[in-house]
Amino acid sequence: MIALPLGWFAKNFFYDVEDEEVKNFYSKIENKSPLNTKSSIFYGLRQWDIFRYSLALGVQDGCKELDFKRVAANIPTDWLHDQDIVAMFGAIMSKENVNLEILQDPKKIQTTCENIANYGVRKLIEINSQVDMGNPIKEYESMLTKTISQSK
Amino acid sequence: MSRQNVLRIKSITIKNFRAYLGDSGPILFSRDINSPITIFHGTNGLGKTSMFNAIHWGIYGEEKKSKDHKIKSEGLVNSYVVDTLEEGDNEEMFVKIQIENQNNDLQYEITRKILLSKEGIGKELVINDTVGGKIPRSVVANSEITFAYKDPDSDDDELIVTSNQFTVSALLKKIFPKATSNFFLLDGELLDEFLNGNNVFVKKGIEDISQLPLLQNCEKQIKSTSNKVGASTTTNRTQYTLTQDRIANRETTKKQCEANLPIVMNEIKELDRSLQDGLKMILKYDEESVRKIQEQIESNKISLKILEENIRTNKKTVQRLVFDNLDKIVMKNAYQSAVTKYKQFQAEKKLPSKFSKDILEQLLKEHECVCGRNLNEDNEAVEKIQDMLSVSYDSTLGHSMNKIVDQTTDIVNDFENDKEIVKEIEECNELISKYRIKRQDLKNMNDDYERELDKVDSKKLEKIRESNEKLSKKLKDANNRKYENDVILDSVNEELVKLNSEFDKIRRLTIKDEHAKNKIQLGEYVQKTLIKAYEQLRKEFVGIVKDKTEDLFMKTAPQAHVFQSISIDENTFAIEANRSDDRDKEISRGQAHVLGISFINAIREITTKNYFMIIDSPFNNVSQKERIDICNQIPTSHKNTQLTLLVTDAEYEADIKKTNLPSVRSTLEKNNSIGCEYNLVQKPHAKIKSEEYFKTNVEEYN
Repeated sequence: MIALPLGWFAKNFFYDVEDEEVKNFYSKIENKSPLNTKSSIFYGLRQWDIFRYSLALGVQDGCKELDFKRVAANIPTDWLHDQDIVAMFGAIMSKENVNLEILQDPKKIQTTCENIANYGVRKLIEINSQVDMGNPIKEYESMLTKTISQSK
Repeated sequence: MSRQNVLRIKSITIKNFRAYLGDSGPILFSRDINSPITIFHGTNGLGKTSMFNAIHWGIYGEEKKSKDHKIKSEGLVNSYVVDTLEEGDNEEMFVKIQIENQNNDLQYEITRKILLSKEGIGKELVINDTVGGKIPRSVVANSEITFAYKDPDSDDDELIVTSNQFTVSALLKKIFPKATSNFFLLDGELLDEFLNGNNVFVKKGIEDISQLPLLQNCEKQIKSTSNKVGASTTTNRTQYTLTQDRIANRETTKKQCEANLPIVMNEIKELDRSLQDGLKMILKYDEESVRKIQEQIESNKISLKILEENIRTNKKTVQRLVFDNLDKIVMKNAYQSAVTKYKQFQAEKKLPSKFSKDILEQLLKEHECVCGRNLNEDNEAVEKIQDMLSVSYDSTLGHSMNKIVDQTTDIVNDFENDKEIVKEIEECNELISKYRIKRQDLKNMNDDYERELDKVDSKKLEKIRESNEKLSKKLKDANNRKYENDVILDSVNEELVKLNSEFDKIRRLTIKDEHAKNKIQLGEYVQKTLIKAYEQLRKEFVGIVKDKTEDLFMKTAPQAHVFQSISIDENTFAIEANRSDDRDKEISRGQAHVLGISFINAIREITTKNYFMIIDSPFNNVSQKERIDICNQIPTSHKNTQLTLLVTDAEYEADIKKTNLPSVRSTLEKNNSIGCEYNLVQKPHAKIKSEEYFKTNVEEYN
């Protein structure tokens, strides 16, 4: 298990609560958030899973960042899993001109990742709105096979 | 009793009777006394029973009722003939039977016909009594019969021909009394009727064959004549006439009751049979079919559950594969460039060491490696530790970074297998589709079963139950009528005994005329002698039939050793096989079958009527061993009798290899018993719209 030094990341990560759609998406409100919608592939999962997927989609588009106003603390860092940390480091390290010195500035890592995820979550919301409720996995499955077939 | 009256079928010609479409031409029967058997064989439903019924219908104008007889929608005339009849067209159906005597001289020729003509275009189907089924209202059906017979008082070979319905009917009744039909036209499935004491036709048939009632009738005639001695001869005229009238009155009542008895008993038998059929249907659907269907539904439900579970598991696998990999695949490029950077940092020794500064400094201080080796003389190792010290962190970040690098490297390495993920997902999806198809099939199957159950429960069973309720009421009524009839008969008989004795007394005491007295005494003497003779002959007849039946039964019955004797009821002629043990076990169908055949053969053997014998389904419910035993007995049990058997291919041709038993055919062939053999073959004839018509051909078997 990856155990980052205590307090290295802030206590919570942020998402854009001022955007109603994003707020609902991360929330656990039944039938509004995929975390609490039975037909969603995120049903019963963590907010971090949404964050990681959002981050991935942001990275896919060239690590595009979308800054936002940090209003309230949202995702507790305590619930971070290895895969989330690996994804965040992957995202940061893939950026041009980033070297090991960034490790001296964990706040920047967090903010950058939050911004990328904030861009990506909008893509995720769009994808999620297009899924067939009868077969929610289909859309993601096509995305996976398509991405694999396109990748070298 | 001598064998004088031999009758054998020479040929039968059938046209358009049930399955037999077109004119069959004369189908010859074996008249060779050394090979007396004619065989008709075919698979079920091809027309064996129709052949049997063609002969029955030819002689009696009606088909023999089977045990499960129902009103059929199709009648006696082939449905293709009825369906294709055009307005103004005429068509005919006929059965022609030629019968010979023992000298092979043609004795009788019966031709029974139904003439059809279409006199309109109406297609509405209505029940037609002549055809015995439903035909279009526009089709008119008329029956016709021609009977040709040899003049018994002439040597002329020319047959006398008559078409007068009443004459023909009277002649046929004389030659082939209906009650005796059971002794030459046998339905194998009805053989156990002989075990039933209530069957009045069996009793009547035996009486007709044995002619025993002749003596009884003679006695009654004498009594009636004797009773007619006039009242003028007596001194007590009033009492004499009164008693005479009362006797006549009671005799009339007795006659009425006796005439009613077979009618009501037959009614009871028919009602009981229909009721049993209904009950069987209810039981069949209630217990057997319903249970089987429900079991199938339940088993399908279990399979459905398993399929659902399989679908769910595979869906979860797909979901897991997608969820676990999609974010990584999406970030493939990012991870790959991260790993490149990590490798570069490692090469430049910029990446934080796995060890913290504290640990490395401690190692250098103590000159000891983590593995316990002394580092005093290993300068190379000391240098390495010093290098590591320069890039190591004084915190847990060092450990974490190395883990992050390792896990990222693993992810990138796994990308080499990403095609496998697609393959795995495809395999799961294929399985899901397969399971879904199976699931749909099972659901459809269960829907069909449910519908069948609904149908059975709600409609069919209800109708049968309703019909059975009505039948039960009718049966109760009929039983009540029989009871009343029995009571009246008993009381009339009792009264008659008293009246006759009273009348005898009056005559003895009051008749003055000596001549009349002598006449009466003589009548009484003849009466007593006749009664004695009748009783004696009946006893002897039953005794001989019993011995012969017992002899045949013991030789041929399956598991005959469990029986010690046969008994025959002197009044009803019902037969019974008595077991040698005290077990109250019922006789099996196969044993009952052999008992019936043995009984018929015994009766035929002692009568003067050696008529042809035709048996439909002779091996019904009989084991292969018993079939072979019966076949081996035929030369002795049937002697000069012409025997025609209508058998299924399975009964006829099957040889049982396991037990080394030969087939019926090979046994009969070995005994040289077969004179003629025919194979019934069904062929497609025409297809009109969606309806396909078939015809059965009688092909000579070579």
